[in-house]
Amino acid sequence: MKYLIAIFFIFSVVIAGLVEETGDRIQILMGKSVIIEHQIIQIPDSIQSVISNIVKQNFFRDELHIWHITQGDSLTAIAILDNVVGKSMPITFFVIFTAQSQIQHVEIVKYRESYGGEIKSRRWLDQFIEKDASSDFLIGKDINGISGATISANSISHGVNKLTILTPWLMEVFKKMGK
Amino acid sequence: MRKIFQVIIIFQLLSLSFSQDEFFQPGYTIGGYGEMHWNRDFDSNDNETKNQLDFHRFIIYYSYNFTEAWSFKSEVELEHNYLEGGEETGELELEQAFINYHDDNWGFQGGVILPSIGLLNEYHEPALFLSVERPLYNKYIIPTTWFGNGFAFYGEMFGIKGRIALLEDLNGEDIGYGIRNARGKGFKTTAFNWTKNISLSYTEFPGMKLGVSYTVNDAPIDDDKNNSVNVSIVEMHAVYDAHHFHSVFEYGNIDYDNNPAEINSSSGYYFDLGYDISSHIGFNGKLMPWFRLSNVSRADSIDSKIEEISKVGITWWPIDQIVFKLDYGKSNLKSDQDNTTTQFNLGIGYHF
Repeated sequence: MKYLIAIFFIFSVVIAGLVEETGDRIQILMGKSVIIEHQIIQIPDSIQSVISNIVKQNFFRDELHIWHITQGDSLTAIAILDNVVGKSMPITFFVIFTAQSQIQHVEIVKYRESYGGEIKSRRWLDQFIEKDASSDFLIGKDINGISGATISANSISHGVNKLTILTPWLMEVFKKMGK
Repeated sequence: MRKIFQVIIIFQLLSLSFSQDEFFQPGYTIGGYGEMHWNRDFDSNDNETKNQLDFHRFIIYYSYNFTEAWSFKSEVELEHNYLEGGEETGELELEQAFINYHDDNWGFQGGVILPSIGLLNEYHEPALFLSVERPLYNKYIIPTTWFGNGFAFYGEMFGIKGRIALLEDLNGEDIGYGIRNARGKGFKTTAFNWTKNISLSYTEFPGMKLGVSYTVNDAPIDDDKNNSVNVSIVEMHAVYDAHHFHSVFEYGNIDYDNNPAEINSSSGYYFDLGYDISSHIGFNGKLMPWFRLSNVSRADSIDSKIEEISKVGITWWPIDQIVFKLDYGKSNLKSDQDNTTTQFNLGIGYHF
């Protein structure tokens, strides 16, 4: 029994990757009163193509990690974990959207580059709050830039914009799924 | 108990082997930037003294990510589109080639690296500065791009980013009215004294960056470590890029001891202010009229080496990776105030 407990404990540490960390972080941000449910959703090529053309950035992968956040019977928010490529490495981030598809929170989960780490700044990321699919996301115009982190700032801005356009479609998917 | 210990060891080893997260994959990345310029100069009698159409820079960026922490990064630059030998007919340079170890908040670099000095030395893609040519300050006071063989350690704490770099010596015999010609560029350089470069920057206020650096070297003359030129450079810079405004200020001072040109200091500054008018006129991308005031003193004690520059221009970014530029400026030497040079420049640049 002791061995089983040890194996279970250590194995849980080993497999606790960025997805699990993100789930934990979302639970902390949204509070204990909500229920969060993780799922992986495949984004159809047709949807990817339309959004990529608008934002001018491709999707990192065909599927996204999504958290469906409910309180009682009603959907209060969804969260999406995604990646964009900075100068050479992926930048992992998540965005929480309200039920009205407005941005509630943006956070960098993992930044792997030697330059441009300034985009992790809470103050900089809070500029995205309340933006939605109709908003503009141009750095230096709609979002204040960061000197020395231009490529990363542009990548994240495009990435958040992409998810903002995707979210109304996801809301429809959830409706059809009866959530 | 022994078995539990064995299990722990096995899983620790497993966790090490799986320490890459699910989104990282080893592989390479290619990027680059480039810029073409049309430069026209006129003297005070409106005679054309320069008319040059030049593909000034073509850079290929190549990196390979071995693991999340270990990577190789490089930049190769072809200047003036054609290479025969010597700066007059183009240059082929390995501007960066280093191994990078990066943890969350600190890292190490070794190879051909860039000192952190001024705004443009590390970040010099054409979309990042307003004028067609880089500011004259970034030619004669902070010689951009300054690169060389060496090592660097960097880290970040409380929003302050710090970096210490140790690079090859400058070539003392080539120091004169500035250090531009004294850069070793990684070519069979010496490391008797090492060039020490320390920098700090702060970016916690969105849109703003404040930075300072100090660089010092005893530059050996003709590789003789007992006969050197002492060079120390202090520079500071600030950027404000928010609410449609774009403003930049850079100031730098170089002190010399035993300079072969027999001067004690060089100094300079420039100030840029622009405003993005695109949203007021329904223009796509960003469209920014701007002006620049600058003074570049290659030798503080010699009036013929002190140049006053004023410029106005308009810069258009249709998308953030492409830029079109137009600028018009006047410059005077302090020793010859009546003789004004007029410059007209047109440029196109990109990065990816």
